[in-house]
Amino acid sequence: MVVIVGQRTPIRRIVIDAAIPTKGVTIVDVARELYKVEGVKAVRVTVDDVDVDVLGLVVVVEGVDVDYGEIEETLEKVGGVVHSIDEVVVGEYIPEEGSTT
Amino acid sequence: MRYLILGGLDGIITAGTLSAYVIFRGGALTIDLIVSLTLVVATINALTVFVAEFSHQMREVRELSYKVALREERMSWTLLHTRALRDTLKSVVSNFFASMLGALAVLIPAYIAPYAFVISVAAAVVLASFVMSDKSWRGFIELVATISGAVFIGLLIGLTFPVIT
Repeated sequence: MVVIVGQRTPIRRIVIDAAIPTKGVTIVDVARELYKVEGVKAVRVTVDDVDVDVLGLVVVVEGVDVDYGEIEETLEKVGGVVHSIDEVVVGEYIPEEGSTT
Repeated sequence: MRYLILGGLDGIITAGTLSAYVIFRGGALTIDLIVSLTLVVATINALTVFVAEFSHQMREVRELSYKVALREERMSWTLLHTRALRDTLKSVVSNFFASMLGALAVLIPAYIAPYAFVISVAAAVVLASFVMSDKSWRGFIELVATISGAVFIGLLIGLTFPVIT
């Protein structure tokens, strides 16, 4: 495989730990807005934690050349916030998950 | 629903207060005056609702933003802001039309016959109290007393300090 220096490496899949308010916005809005981002082919949003005013989410985004900056910006535009990036897959295909045991 | 009821009552009290002197002194209400009063009353009430509701909604968005991000609200406009503005505008439009109806409930009967407005105002007070009382007799009586008191004070102020003579 030839990697051209300076060219952005394509993100195939990214798993984000995020949070949104419980009021005014739903996970349907989050998924739809993320799907509008260029390069995104599929989005899965799962509720991970429920607080009084805050929903903790696991956001899985897959595509051909996902722009992480735009993903973070979109999450902020729907009133959410990124807590952490829990997984990222870069390259031409998605490798199997690894295990050390 | 809250802004529909409040708008209607606002319209009745404000239009009644402003036109009380003319109505009770047997003066004539003209169509031009009725249209002007109705539009002014509805607009003032709607603008008041906009300021109150929008600041309330924005405060809620700031609080939610802080709880989600655990830091001060970001300056950018989010979907939460858009929805808060949309909800505010819905309240404003409801209030505007309800205020218009409230004002017309006083002014049109008064245009037809000097004291006819008393019947329509009484009907509006009973209807508003019934809707807001949530089928509680005690609540209904309290609301009728409160709203009637407010209408009475409005008319009294309008007679004491005439605006339109």
